[in-house]
Amino acid sequence: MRRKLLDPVILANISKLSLKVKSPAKGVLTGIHKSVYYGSSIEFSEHKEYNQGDEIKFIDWKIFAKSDKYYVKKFEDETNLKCYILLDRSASMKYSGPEFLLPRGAGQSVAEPEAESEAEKGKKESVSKFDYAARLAATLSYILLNQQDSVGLVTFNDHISKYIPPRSNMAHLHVILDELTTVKEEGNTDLPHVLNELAEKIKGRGLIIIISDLLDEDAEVLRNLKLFKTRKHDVILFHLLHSDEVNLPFDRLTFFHELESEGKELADPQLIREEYMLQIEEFVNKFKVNSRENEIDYYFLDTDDPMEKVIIRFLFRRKRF
Amino acid sequence: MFNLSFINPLFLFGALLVAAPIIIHLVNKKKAFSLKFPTIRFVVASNKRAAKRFKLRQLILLILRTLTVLFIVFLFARPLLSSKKNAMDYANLPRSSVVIIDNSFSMLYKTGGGDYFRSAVIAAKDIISGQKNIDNAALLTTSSITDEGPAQLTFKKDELLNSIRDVNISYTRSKPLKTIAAAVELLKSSQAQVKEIYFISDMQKFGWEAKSDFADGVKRAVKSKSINVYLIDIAGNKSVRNAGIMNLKALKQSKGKINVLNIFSRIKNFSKQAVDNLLVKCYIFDNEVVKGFVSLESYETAEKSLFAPIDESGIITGYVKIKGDSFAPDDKRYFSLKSYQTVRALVVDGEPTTQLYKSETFYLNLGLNPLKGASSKIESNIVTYDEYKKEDLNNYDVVFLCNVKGMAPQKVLELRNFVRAGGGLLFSLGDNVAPMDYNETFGDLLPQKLRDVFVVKPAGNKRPFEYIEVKDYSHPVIEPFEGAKGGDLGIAKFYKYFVLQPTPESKSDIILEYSNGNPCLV
Repeated sequence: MRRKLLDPVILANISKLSLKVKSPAKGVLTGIHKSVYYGSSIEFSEHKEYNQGDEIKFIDWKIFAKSDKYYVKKFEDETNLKCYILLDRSASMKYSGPEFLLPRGAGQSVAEPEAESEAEKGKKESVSKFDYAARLAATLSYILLNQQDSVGLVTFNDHISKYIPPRSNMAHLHVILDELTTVKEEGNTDLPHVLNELAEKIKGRGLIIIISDLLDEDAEVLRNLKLFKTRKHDVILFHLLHSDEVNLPFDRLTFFHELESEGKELADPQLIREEYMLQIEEFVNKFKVNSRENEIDYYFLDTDDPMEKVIIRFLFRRKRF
Repeated sequence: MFNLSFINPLFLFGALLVAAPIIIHLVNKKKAFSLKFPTIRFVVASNKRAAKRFKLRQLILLILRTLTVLFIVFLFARPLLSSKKNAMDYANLPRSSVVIIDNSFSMLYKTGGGDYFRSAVIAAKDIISGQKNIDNAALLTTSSITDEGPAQLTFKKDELLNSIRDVNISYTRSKPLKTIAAAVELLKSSQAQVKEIYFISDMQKFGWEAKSDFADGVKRAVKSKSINVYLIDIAGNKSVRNAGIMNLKALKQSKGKINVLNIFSRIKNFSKQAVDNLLVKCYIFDNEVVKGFVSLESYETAEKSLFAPIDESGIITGYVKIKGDSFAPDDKRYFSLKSYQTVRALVVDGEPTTQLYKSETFYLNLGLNPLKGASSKIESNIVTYDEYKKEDLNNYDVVFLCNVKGMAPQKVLELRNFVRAGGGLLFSLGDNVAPMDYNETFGDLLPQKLRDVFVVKPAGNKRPFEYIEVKDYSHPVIEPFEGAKGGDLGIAKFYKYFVLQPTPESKSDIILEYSNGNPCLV
């Protein structure tokens, strides 16, 4: 089944917005982002003393008249951006809401409808974390390509599953969307390994957008995120969890099964809910604080958050840079 | 030490239902749903912290369910919990007891092993003997309250046992409720934790039917819940045969030239069983002179007249005896008859007038000597008070004081001696009588102290007078008025009369009453 990735309403609403990077980009094409190369644009950057080899046409004659010294004007160049969208496709991203299994001893099939509470029934149509992430990735790709930036896609679980190098033409969007609609959520997560591998692979500065539930070794993940920062990348981290994972809204005694392994745990959600939510808050805060310290742009998302609002909020926040 | 017993022990099988909550507990555990969940590591971490609370909650739930089942089962089985220890503790507590023996006349009813009184004495001894050294007790009898004053609680068991031996049947009226009230007063002063009253009686005073009323009376007398009252019915439900001579009169009559003694007796059967041909014998000077038979239904009263010829003049003594039964004292009754030629009456007129019919004594004299001839048995002498002072009372058998204003102390003394010697005295009151002065002057010669003069006032539809209402004709004075030929005392109208000072206990009998219940003749 192909996923519905782009919502025309959202695209219409964000058509006048653009995604900006914090640090100057290194691109060869002309775009909306400041380039690290000084160029021929009209935007003045600074003065520098004239040296041999500098173009004479950039000498600021007004300063020469005042100071009798030669200074050349430096202009900022505008270039396009290379963006890499890293999308987590591990099995944990498959979670779309409660799919209760029959009580123990009655097989592992999906339970009868009456086994679900009213709260649980209401959430039957909620999207999976991966669906939400894919839609987010597709929308961001569209925005970036629309502003002449290059966009690449990396899907991963415990390794890089697919690497689509960045391209800036609009036709590239189809390649990305094809991948997003066909990819399946499976396997364990090993984000640190993937980050490490990708850091080696990406040459030059760029925008790294990571969309994941970050259910991995926290410390390893945080350490390897720093790798991108040390290489002058602009890093945006979308931390995506399902609303059930945030609120634990179940009310009956449950055997919780691991999605990426065989682990299970018997627990009374009502009894542990308070403690569980504290744990989640602590988990989220750890990434939030660490991201702030390392100048990583961190966004916590819940699958119940409307996509349109998330995108608009994100773009406005980026506009401030 | 507890003894647990059940009224419906079969319901205890329901305790097997206690397995139900355990099964529910296990089934619930098995019925836990399974859910694939990504953030299980936080569930595990939370569960570790909450595990203790979780297990405790499950355990509490199991215990509550189990206890609920057990409680319901026990409720249906109706458990009875008795504490031997408590019982022993109670028995060891210091106690104060008052033992009351009914020493009324009815206790002389004979039973197989003696009489009721003997049984009551034995029961009282048993109670006192059972007392511990820390217990104190007192002994009361139903007739001892006014005569001897209340006894005191004592720890001396031997003294009490001796006192029981000294208790005798009393011929005075018994006052059971008053005695119980006195016992309560005694116990109020006691510091003992257990207070008890043992009332040992044949319950005859109140009648078997009225036993519940008596119990209510006891409750009212005791009031305090801390005092236990034990009514020990010595008679139980034994059926006792008893007939008694209720009344006896001996009249000398002349039949031609022969003088005969008419001995008239009223005999009552107190038993549930009928009595056939009860033998009635009359003895004069200890010689059997005449006998007869009477048959009585249950609780029936019958009259029997026996006639015996007499020769002697002067005093004749004798007795009537019926066949012995369970209660001997009422089987025999004595009589004494002075064989007067005439009765000599001294009538003192307190307000003599020249018009005879207005005199206080005119109608009295007419009543005493209606025939005005030698055939009359009463010889009356009407005098004024001044004349009375000169009279020698030894010459008279009876004195009538009619509306006499007062009397000198010396003459009162003489009058008292006259009465003590067997003379008759009748006060007839009138407007010369001042109640307080009278009380002071005559003292205990009066059957009851005077209080005031009461004037009958008409109110609403109420008549302006009272009349005499005769309820009981058994008294010899009233007896002649009984029956269709006896006349009607009720036709006399009383617009003003003397009321008497009421007292809780009175030795006097009311012979006649006004229609409003006030005494007329005492």
